[in-house]
Amino acid sequence: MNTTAVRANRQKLAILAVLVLLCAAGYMLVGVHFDNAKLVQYAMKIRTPKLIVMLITAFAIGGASIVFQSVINNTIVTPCLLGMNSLYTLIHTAVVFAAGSGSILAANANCSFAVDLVLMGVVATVVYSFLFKKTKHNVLYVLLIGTVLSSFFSSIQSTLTRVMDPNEYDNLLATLVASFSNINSEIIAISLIILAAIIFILRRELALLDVITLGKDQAINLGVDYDRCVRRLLLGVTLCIAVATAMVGPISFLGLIIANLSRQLLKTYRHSQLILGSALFGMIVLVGGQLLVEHVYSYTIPVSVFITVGGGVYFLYLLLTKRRT
Amino acid sequence: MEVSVIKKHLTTIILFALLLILSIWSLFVGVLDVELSGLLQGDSEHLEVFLISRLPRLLAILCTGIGMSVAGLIMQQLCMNKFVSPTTGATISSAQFGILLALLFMPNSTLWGRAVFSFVFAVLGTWIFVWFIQRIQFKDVVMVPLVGIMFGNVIGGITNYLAYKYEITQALSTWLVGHFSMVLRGRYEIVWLTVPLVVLAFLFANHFNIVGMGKDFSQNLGVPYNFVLFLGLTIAAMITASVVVVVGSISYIGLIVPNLVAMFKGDKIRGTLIDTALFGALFVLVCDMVGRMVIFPYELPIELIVGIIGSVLFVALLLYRLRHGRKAIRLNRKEGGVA
Repeated sequence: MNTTAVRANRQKLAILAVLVLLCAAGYMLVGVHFDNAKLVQYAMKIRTPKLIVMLITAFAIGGASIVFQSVINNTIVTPCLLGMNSLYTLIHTAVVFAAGSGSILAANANCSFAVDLVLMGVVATVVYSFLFKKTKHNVLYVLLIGTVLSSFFSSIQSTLTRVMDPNEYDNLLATLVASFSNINSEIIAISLIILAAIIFILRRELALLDVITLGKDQAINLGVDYDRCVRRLLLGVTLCIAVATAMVGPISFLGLIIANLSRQLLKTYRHSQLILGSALFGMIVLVGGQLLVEHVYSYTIPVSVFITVGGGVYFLYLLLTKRRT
Repeated sequence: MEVSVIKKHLTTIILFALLLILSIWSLFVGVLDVELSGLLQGDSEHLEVFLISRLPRLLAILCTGIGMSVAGLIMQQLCMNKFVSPTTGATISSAQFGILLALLFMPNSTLWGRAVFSFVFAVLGTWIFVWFIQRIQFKDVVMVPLVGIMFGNVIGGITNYLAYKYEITQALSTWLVGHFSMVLRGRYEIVWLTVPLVVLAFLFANHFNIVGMGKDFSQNLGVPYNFVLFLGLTIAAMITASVVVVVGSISYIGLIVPNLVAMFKGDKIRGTLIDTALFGALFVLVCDMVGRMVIFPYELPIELIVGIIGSVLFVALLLYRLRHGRKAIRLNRKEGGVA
């Protein structure tokens, strides 16, 4: 890659960053009554955590999606195929079912976040490590089993909801839809720490991503321990998605859209730029979408619906136009 | 001669006998007591429960099991891929989409009206899916079902969105989770359509086999490739749609049953079609009886039971295939029949 292209990409990323700032500023300031200091303070108190949560989510999902696509070596897959969304719904339902919605495990936001996160992390790590061993690192098989597992999880989940007390089910239902509100600062801090830890532990594998994209044989020729590297990266992806999902609830398709937008815009194979681009696109989509939902549609349609329909149409477009070489 | 004929059809006979026994047993499982003595004496109450609910339910179960597994078998042969089925080929979600549109645009439509919508969309959805996988150039054995699953997710997403927007999620949920508890006389007869369709499939079985071997091969043998391909897909989609309209979506049967049978009996459709149909019916019947007994006197929808048992079986099947390739399991072939 020549330097002019790198510079052009830097400019594009800078433009994206400016757009993110504009969206964020718009989100923070639209509709605030500036003549009353108390109202301004109140609006900031409500909006700041939501904004931070959206930024973290976008970063986690955007980064994870790019890494995932590069590892699978296919740009029309998204980590939600691994079945993390239905695992989240299942774990959440199972906790409410076993402990009751009034218990501290479900009622206390911090406890519930911790339980979701730990269980998801453990189950996902155990299941996917087992699958990798069993399938001898055949990623496509892992993916197919993941989609099957996701319907396995959701079948158990709906079985539980059918046996459950209707009042508890009502309480549960509210927490199963993706939402950016009501997330306290401790959860935000914990998520940030976990994400930073994941990136720190995987720093060597992340640096090798550009090599891994070349394909298995080339990567091994260049001295990469391919299987181990891929396994660690995928576990990292799983944990990132787990953090994002435990924080806001299930969001599908977001990763697919932003990762592909980033690839289309930047047309590069450098993952440092791709991941950054994808995260920035994610921030624009989430913050901008939330802005629209709150002020144009006044909350009648949840932002996840936008993402699903938009993502679906975009996926069809990708299928039709993309020919893998 | 006699013995060899029996031996050849041993699995078929065993399956048939098992199915018969379980079918009769299933007629007497339920909240209201129905006893054989009552039926024989002509007790009107027993007879009513029997004719309005139990018998239709059993027939619907048999039709569903036979239909879905045959539909899966046809799709797998035609797409040359063992992991394609009405679930992984977007047929079920298209059928649901059709029902949704029928509910939206013709709120007063009868079951038949919805069925027509559902037929049209199931057929269209399956055709589009096959057109897709023929157009995209990577024919990886696992990529095809993945594309199908994502395609199905997209259609499901649009369905959910429209249902959410027009507030008919609840009405639609009947067709999203398959169950037999609403099967009563007078509102399940559409499912009988599977019978002529399965017969049609049996007549064309050899053609499907040949088309499954590829375009050039079938043209050499004088089989019109496109015609048979679309005929087969249409049959599979119609079977699926008629099941979805009456029972709701039941995933995995079309995927697991043909694969399990093929592991024992090989890939020739004529040889496996009957066994596949019988085994499918048996599988659905067992799952339904489990669903009826677990939280008696209530019942769990069959979709959930199939979802749990089916996905475990499917993962096991996948891992087995990965280890042993496409080798069939040979039973009682000690005398040098290693294939």
